[in-house]
Amino acid sequence: MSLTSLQSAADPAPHKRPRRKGLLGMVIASRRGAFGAVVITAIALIAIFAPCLAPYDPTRIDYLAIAKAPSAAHLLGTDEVGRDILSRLIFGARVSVVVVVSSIGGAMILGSAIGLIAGYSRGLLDDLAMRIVDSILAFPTLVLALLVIALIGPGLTNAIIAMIVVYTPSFARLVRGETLTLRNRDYVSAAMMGGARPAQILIREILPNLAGNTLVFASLLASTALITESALSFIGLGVQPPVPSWGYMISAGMQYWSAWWISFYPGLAIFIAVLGFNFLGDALRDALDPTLEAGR
Amino acid sequence: MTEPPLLDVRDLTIPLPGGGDRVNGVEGVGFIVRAGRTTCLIGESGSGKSLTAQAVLGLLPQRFDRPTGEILFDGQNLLALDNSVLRRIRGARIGMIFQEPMTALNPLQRVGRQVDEVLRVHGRMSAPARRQRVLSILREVNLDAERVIGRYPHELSGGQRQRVMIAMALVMEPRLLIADEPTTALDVTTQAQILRLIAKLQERHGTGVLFITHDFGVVAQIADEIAVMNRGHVVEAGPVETILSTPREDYTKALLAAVPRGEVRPAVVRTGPVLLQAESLAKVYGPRRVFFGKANPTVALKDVSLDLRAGEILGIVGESGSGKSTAARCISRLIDPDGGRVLLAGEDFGALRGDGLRLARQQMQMVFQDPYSSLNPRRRVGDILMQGPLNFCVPRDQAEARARDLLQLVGLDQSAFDRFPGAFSGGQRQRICIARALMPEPRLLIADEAVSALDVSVQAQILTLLRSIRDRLGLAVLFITHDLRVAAELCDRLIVMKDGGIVDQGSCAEVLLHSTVPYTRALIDAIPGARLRGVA
Amino acid sequence: MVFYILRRVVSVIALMLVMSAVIFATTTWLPGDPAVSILGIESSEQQRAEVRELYGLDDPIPLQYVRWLGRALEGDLGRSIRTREDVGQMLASRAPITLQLTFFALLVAVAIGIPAGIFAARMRGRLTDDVISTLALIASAIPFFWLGVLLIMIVAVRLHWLPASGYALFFEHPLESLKLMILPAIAVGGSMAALITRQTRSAMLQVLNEDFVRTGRAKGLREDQVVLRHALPNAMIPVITVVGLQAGALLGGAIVTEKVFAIAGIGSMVIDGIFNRDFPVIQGAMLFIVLCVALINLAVDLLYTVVDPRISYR
Repeated sequence: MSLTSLQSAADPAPHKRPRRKGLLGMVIASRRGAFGAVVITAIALIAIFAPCLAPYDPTRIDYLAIAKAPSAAHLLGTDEVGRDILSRLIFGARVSVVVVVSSIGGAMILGSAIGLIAGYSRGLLDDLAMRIVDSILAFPTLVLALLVIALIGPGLTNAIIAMIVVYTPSFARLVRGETLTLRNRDYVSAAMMGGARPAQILIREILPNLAGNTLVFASLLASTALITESALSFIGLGVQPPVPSWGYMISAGMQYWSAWWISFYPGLAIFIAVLGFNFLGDALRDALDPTLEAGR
Repeated sequence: MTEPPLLDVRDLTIPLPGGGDRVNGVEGVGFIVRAGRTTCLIGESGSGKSLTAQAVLGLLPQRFDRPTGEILFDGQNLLALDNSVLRRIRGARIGMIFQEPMTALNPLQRVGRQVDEVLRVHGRMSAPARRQRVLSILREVNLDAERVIGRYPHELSGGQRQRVMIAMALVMEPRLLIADEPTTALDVTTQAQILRLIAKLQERHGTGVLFITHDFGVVAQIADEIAVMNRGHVVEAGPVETILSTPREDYTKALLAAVPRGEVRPAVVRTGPVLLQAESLAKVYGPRRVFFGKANPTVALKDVSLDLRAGEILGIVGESGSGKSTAARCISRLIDPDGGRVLLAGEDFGALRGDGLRLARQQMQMVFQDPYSSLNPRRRVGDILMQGPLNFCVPRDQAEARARDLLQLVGLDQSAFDRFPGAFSGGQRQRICIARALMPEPRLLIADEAVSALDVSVQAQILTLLRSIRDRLGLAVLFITHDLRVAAELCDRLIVMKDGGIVDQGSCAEVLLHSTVPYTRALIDAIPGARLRGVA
Repeated sequence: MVFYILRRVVSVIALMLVMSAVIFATTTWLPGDPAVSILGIESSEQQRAEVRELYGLDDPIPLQYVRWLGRALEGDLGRSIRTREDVGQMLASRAPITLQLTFFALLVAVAIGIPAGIFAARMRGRLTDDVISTLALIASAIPFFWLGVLLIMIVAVRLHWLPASGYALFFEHPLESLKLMILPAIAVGGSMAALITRQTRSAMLQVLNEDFVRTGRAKGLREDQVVLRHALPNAMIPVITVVGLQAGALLGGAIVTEKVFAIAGIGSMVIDGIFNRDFPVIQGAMLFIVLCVALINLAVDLLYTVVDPRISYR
């Protein structure tokens, strides 16, 4: 028996797992992932097509119809100044989508850049960046957001800025940690020996291998961002009326305790959206599980 | 021997949970262990030997179904026993030790307490009596009992922790000890000590030992009986002398043939220009910036000098912490040395910076230890191969042609070009890594423990490949390893390192056969299985 | 060991200095003339000039900071621009309420979360685990302030079981205080409980896969002995981290929840201060919050040294 046949006996090619259908496929395959994807897509679509979907102008005040219970005319009732809650919910989706996407997107890009550079170059740059990041991270999200709002004032744009400030350090820390680990991988050393420039190594070797975890983190953080923005609007320091925001709508309902629909539906909307992000994030994380990755 | 065996495994079959590469992890396996004797289960990775060991004590992970067959221990079939009955046997009548001493002990509890726990669970001894017993067993495993008993695991070395594990397994004086690759993660000298310790304890207490390993040297040294396993089956079993001298099955024969004997080949004197010169390399890992505390600096390299000619294979041998890998990284400028010079074909390689350094890297390439982390899982093999030459300004079509040639040279199919690393086995990946290293047409190849993570049969092939590449291309090779046997197979000259410095060097014959340096002799003596090599 | 504690205390002090500077800087840069805020729009330029002189509002910022810091360390945090109340006294009267709320919420979160997480990990793969995990996942999506509003609507307004708002200090009126704290504590602590459940479960599962757990079984220990003596203590380390993080987040949550339940704590103080551009109030309240968070982090670090023998001398 020759060595080559011995080889195929002792060194078999990895067993092909039958269910590898690609990332998207695996996410959709899990019930939770599917639910999450559906919810997020639905919200995005509602946000985009809001003007076509909403039965009323969300800012139209009607003093004759204050705090009316849900009826045929107003499917979800009216709020404390007679505006249609359903329409406000629909337009509120726009605010939520805009805030979440821009703040998490901005934080992800900024944080990843900081993390990549800090993790790869080490030394003074890394130390300095991480000290700043750690000091900011030591603070609870809401408190920090409040501090920023206290400085620059309330409003939609300012809320986004506040949240970018709040979430960038989290991404920076995550990406730096991953970069440090990946940097020590042998294939990075091999790339170095193969004459690759640092920028090349960062973009071709390191970045693709941390993109997955970063995206999972982003989707989980998105749900936190949504709650934070709603909390800010709830206390009146986020999106300012008359722009409809789900968080603000909940606080408005506190004027009319018996008109439960004013507070209930917006909160329900937030709940469903957050649930969707959580499910999607969990499914993504399971799909990207390293034990299922190509290789081992 | 008319006594019934201590452990009699018959027709053991362990079904694998879904998604594995075969239906049964282990099928129809049978072997025996006698009191006071050692049986070795030997096989390569994936042979099922670890599963078998775990099945004896019912320690298979939860997702496994119940195995079928019989495991007879002192008359009882362990597979048929209820878990509560089995628990009383574990630790008391059958002890077990595992492979990774670093993680096998609870990091939050003192070591003495963990040994004491076995006594508390199984016996009714009083606290003072237990303490005495713990101290005595710690002494028996050659530890400074009074000092060690109050230590935490992270305060002990790997060898010490493994001794604690052995103490824990033997404190109740079990009839059978199961050892699942207990020395694989240890240095060769530490391994020798542990093997001697187990032999001594066996003699004193008459314990039967079931020893799992992949190393034929260990088998030759300690086994009375062996069972050779492959892909879940016992290929051949019987007394060790019979199997080693007259193997019947083809698989056993081929496996034995692949084992490096450490036979010294005649020295071939290379003439020709010196390609690589390292002079007085030094590297110190300094104390960390610590406010009030102090941490001693670690000397990783001190005064390391070597030279290498074209076509020569120079081996650097040493245990962990000897500095051999650090030396390789300093030479290749993956890290920068704190002192000394590196001259490549006469030019000061150490003084290059920036683009100059980057382009000079073309001449020196490296193959790493772990085939699973040496290839970027997200890039295709062809891409990975071509990257080097492309960085060195070779036109794309030339690079591609060269890549395909090299794939052939290392024995891989052309289809590999378009596939991802995940589709390949460990041995195949290492071939890809070698091809990648050869792509820029370097003059020097550094192999940093390049075969240490491979099964012995695969290892033999890679060594053959390296030899043939050196013969065909006239490369100089710097071969780092901890395994003297492998070094002897491949290298022309050897350097022995210890604690960051060179303690011995010369041709293979000079170092392995005639060296008078005590450390070298200790390393050679520690190689298990002297009788395998026909020495002693 | 002592050095380690000393080092940690020093870094808390350093952090406080930095954050106090940040707080001071950001609040003095609030747009608007502070003299106008103090006197009102109708004030004359001369009156404003006098006020600026009086408060040293024209001095360079670093000098103002040092003076402010000096006074703060003596306990003088200035007076609210709007109500003329002494900020230090405002803090003293409101802090106990917020701390009490945070404490009860943390109690609720930990008392539910950790046992649930351990239980779910033990029952991994079985129905119990599925149920607990799914419940935790759903509960963690509920916005805590919405939960607070709903609780008031159902329990207080509809069912009249508990009062809707107000507060009482535990040490003064224990029973009354508990009745008033239940709803807010559940609102804030509830979704934190869900998070702690998930983290604890995940930490336990990871530890149960470790080698030393297998060693424990090989020694003949019962499964519950292995879990309690070996797995749990090791899983506690990441759980302590999470609880510490949540304590900080709870502080933030408490601030918002005070608005829901009309509790006059630090939270309301901060929010009102921001609305009114009352910068001494904002400074004082933020300083207090920052100090609390820093102390929580310190406590967590010190707890590590007790639990984990590996962290002593670094």
